[in-house]
Amino acid sequence: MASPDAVAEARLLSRYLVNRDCTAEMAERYARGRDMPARDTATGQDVCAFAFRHPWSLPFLDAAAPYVGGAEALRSRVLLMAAVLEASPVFVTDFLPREIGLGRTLIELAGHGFTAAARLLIGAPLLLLLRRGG
Amino acid sequence: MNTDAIVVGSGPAGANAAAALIQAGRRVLMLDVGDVETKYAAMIPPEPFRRIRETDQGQHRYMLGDDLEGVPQDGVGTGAQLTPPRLHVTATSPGLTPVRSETFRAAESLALGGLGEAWGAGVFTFDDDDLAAWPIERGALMPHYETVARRIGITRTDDDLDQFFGGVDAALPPLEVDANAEVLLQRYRQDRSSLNRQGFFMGRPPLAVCTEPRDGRGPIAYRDMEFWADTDQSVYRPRFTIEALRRHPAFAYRNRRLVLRFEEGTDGVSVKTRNVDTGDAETFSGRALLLAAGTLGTARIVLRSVGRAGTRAPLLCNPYTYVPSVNLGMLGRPSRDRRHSLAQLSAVYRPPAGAGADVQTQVYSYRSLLMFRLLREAPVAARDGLRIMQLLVSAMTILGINHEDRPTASKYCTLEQNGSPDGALRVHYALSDAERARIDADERVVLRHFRRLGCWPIKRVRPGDGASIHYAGTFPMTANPRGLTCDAEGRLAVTRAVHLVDGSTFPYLPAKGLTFTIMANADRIGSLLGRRLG
Repeated sequence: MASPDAVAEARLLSRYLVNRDCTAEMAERYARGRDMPARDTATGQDVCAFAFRHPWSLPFLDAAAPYVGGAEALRSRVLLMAAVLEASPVFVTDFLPREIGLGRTLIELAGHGFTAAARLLIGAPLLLLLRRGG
Repeated sequence: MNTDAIVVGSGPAGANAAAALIQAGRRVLMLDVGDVETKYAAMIPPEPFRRIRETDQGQHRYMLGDDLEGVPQDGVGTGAQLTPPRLHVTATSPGLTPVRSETFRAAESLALGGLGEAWGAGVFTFDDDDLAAWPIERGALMPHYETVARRIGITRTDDDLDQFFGGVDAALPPLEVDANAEVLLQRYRQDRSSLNRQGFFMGRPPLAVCTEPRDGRGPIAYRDMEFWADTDQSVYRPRFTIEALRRHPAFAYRNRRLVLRFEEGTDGVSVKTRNVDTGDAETFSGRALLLAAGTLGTARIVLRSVGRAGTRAPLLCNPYTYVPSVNLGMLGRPSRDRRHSLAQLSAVYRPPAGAGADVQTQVYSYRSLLMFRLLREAPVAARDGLRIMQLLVSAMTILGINHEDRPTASKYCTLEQNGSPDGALRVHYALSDAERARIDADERVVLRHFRRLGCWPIKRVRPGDGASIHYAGTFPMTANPRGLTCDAEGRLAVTRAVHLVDGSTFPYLPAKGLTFTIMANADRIGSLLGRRLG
C-alpha cells in the first residue's frame, strides 16, 4: 500500500505534467518506484521537499535543475512520473507526436520556448537561494 | 556423443561456426550459459506500436518493468537502449564475468544468442582496406558472407553505399524507409554530386531482416517494436540458428555452463565449466575447441588457460558518439505508423586521401523508445519539454557515429588474480589526444553535411569508452603467428586445436559494424575445420 505522501506527490506531478489527475494505479506505481532504495540516492532531497510543500515552485525548480544542480531528486521524481504516465493508454495523447503543420508547429515551439526560458529565469535564483539555505 | 568440436558461446560467431561444422558433417557440442527472457516478451501483443500504446492496459509492465528497471536513473550509457524485455541480454554478466575498469563501460552477454539478441542488425562487408592487416584476402571471405546472408536473410539495395559494404548477392527486397528518412534521402539526392565530391555518401543500410517469409520467419510487419520484441521474427537473432541446430542429431547444446578454462591433451581439448545454477564443476572433451564467447569472454578464458594472467592483450573498441538532431524538413509533417525501429539510413564520410579512415553514421528515427527518455536529456522543465517533444519527435533523428580503432599501448585487457581462482578481467582503454582530435574533427565534418541535408544536431553525446559494444583485437590474426596471436584459421598459436572465431582475432576495427564479418569469419573457420576434422 502506497504511503499517502507518495500518492499526493504522484497526483501533484501528474497535474504538473499533463494537467490531469493520475489514476490510483499509477499513483501506486509511482510510489513503489519512488520508495525503492536504489532510487533514493539523488541529491537535493530538501529542494524536493520544498517543491512538494509549495507546488507553485515546481515548474521553476524543474526548469533550473539541468543548469544549476542541487535538484537531482526532484528531477528524478518528475521523470519517474512522466514514465509512469506515458506507459498507459490513459494519457497516450499527451505522449504521442503532434503533427499539426509547419506554421502551427513553429508558433507553438516559440511559445513553449519562451515559457521555458521564463521559468528558468525565475527558477535559477530560487534554486540557488534554496541551496544556500539548505 | 564423441565430439568433434566444442563451441563456446551461442552468439553470432558461435551460431554460425556451429552451423558450418554441422553442415560439414561434424559432431558439435555447444557450451553456453544461455540466459533467456521468460517474463516480458510473452506479454507483448503482435500489434503496431501505436495500437499498443492506445489500447494495452498492461503495457507498463514490459515498457517500464515490474521493478521499473526500464526507467534508468543514470544518464545515457552503454546499453541505454535495452528495454525490460531485452535486459536479460546483459543482466548476469556483471556478476558472473565482471570487468574492472575506471573508464571502460563494458557490455557482455551470457544470453542465448549473446549480444545478437539486442543487435541492430546492420550487415556490413569489410573491404580490402579493412582486411589489409588480415592474413587472408577478401576473396576468401566473400563466399562466407554469401553463405551467412542466405542463412540469416539480409535485405539491401543498390545505392551509393555499395562501394563501402556491398558485394553480397544473396539479398531480399529492400526495407521501406520511414517519412523522416525519405525527406533526408530526397535532400541528399538533390545535392548528391557535391556531397560525394566532399566524401559524403548516404543510402539504406543492409540489414539482417526478412522482407519475405523465410524458414518460418517474417516478413517484417513494420510494427516499430524492434526494441521490445521479435514478434514477427523478421530481424535475425542467433538463437534462431541455435534452435534449428538443436533439431540436428549431431548437435548438442548444454546450457547453464560457464566455461572457465581449457586444457589440451594428446588427443584433443578438455573444457572446464561451472554450472551457474548448481555450482557443479563439469568437464567436456572434444577434438577441437572454438571459442566464441565474445572478445572479452574469450580473453578471460584464454588468459586463464594459458597461464598468462598479467599479460596485456590489446583491445579495440569503436569510439561512438550519438547526436540527437532535428530534421527540419519533417517539422509539422505527418510521420507514418508503418515503420521499423532499426537504422533507416547509413552515411559514410571518407576523408581526403591520407587524412584518416572512413567514419560511419547510422540514422535512426525516434518514437518507440518512448518520450520520457528524451525528457531526461532535455534541458527544460519536463512540462515544457513534453510539449516541445510532442512537436519535435516526428522530426527527431538520432545519428550514431562510429569511428575506426587501431591497437595502441593504451588499449588492453589483462587478467587480474585477485584471490579468486578465476581472476577478473581488467580493461584499460584510453584514446590518445591525436585520436580524440581526429574524432572531433571528423564529427564536425559529418555534422556539417547533415546540416546541409536539413538535419540539425542538438548536441553530441559521448556515452563513454565501451559504449559501442564493438570489441575486437585481443588475439589478432597474423601471417606469422606466435604467442597469443592467431593464424589464418583463428588457431591460437600457443595451442594445437583451439580456434578463436569471434572478434578477438580482428587486427583492426573499421568504423562499420563488425557483426556480419564476425559471422562470415566464423563460418569460414567452421567450414575449414569441418573439412579437416573429417
